[in-house]
Amino acid sequence: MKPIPIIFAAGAALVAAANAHAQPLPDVPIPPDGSGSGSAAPPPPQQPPDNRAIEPSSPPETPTDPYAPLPPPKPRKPLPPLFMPEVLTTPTGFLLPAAVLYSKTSIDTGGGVTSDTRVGLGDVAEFGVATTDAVRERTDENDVTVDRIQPYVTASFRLGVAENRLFLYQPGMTLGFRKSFERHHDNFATRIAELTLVASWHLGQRAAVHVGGAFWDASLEGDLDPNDNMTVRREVTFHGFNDAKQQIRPFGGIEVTPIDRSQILVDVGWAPEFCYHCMTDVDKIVLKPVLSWGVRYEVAQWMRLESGVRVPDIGEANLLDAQIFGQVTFTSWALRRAVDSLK
Amino acid sequence: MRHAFTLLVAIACSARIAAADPTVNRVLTAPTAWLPPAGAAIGTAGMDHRFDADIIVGYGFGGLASVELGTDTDVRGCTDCALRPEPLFLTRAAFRMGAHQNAWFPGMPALVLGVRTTVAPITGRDDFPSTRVTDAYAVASRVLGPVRLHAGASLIDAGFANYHMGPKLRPLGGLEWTPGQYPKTSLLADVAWVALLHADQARPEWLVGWGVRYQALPWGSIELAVRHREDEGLGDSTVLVRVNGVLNPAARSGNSPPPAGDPTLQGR
Repeated sequence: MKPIPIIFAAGAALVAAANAHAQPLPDVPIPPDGSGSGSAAPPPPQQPPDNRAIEPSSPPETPTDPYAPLPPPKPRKPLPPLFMPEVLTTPTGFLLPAAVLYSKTSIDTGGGVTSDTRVGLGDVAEFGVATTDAVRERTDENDVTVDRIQPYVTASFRLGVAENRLFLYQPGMTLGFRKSFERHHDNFATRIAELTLVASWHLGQRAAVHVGGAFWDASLEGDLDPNDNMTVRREVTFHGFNDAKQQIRPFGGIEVTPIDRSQILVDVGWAPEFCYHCMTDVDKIVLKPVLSWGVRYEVAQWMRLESGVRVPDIGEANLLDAQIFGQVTFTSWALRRAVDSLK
Repeated sequence: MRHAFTLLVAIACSARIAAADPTVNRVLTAPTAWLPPAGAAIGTAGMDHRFDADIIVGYGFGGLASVELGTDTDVRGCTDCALRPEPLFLTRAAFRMGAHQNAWFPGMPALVLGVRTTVAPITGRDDFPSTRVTDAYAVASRVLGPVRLHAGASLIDAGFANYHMGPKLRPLGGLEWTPGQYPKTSLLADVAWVALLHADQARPEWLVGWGVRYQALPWGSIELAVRHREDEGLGDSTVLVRVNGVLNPAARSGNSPPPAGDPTLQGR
């Protein structure tokens, strides 16, 4: 027995083991080859069963750190500006961005409750379903209490080009079509349709102007001649009057932003009015000018409050029909982000 | 009326947490051009010696406008007009939009364009069914030392059943004077026109008021006033008491400084 060499050898082995234990973990993972050699040499490329060649996963000189911090999250793309598709009652030349959802709900002092839901399609179009209380009715020429027909359900489709898209200072332009479902009310059936073309310009950062034209059509069906003592239903249409000038109307509006997140809005539009028992057919369907003004307040990026005054027949300066309205608009980019995340 | 008194107390209690001074949007009857700051809620409640009450609540909209909803008894009606006309309880909403003093140029008065219209044609009376009353007005207000002047014009329209008066143009004006010795007290006087409904017609009648407002607390004030109406004797004048309050969370958090030059928003 030679105890001294044995003790020395054992001590050397313990020191070596302690030194080895004190070393940091190797950067290179030990290959699970069972050899236990700890060699950093990569395993030879293995042939897959189908004998297709694969490239080596990584060169031996670029070890990977399993404890390395995760890469920073991919930054979100900045959202494009969102301009409203309506001033207060009239359309603008701005479209909703692609996959942006829009919902507006409105109430007014006349008891009207309306809603408007839209979605932007590919930055070039927009589809929406809405209810409106702008369509009005009266019994005859002597009826001073003009009522509203509501809810009046419409569907709309608009397409267009964003501002400055084709050339500098090109206005935002949209061609829109809105059509109602047939509405049965008091034994009368009515429909409306509106084709609009509108251009919108931003004047600096704090103002925008909207100018457009509308081509209207409408129909009224029912017992339109009560004095003949016969119940004969017939239909009159706006285009049947063969007077296209009566169907075309200009409209427009302005937006001014004197305070950040607060806008002053003014617009003038048109709305059809049905007169069931007016003497002549041309008086049974007429267009009435509507003046609106109000304020839009951006509470959050996704929520806007609007309030103002709407005078349904400004041509007759009938203040009694003026309505004070309040409406809330929600916009959502959630669908847009979901679509972007799939790309 | 009991509900009105309950609401009056509720407004007075809720105004305790307000941080900004009241923004009074009228003198006594005539509107002023002061607008509440963005996000501020305002409230006014009053009652006269005949126990006719009025309550109005409002909300400052973006610093540019305000929306109000309330009930008042300014409009009266009579079927036998040899007797004193009785008040009509009208639920009305108002939208006021304008600019603060000096907003566009130095020395500019505050300007407001307002519309107040009937929400529900319920008057509590059968002799005036479907009553609708609308006022549209433009008013300018300016601080001149201890005096605040208000001047403007209003279009008044009214109708009930199948009757429609048509818009009538009338002036309006008011004066507030805060003596230097009593910085919390203001003397008030104003004149305005309101609708008076008869059995088969309607017409505007003038309404003159004078009184005093005491800014008792930073968040609230109380008014005592007398109002005289056209075609009424002095004995038929009404005496009313009214409280005003404001709730402005933005000012409490320091996010909404009061507009310069608006005395109703600055600390007294």
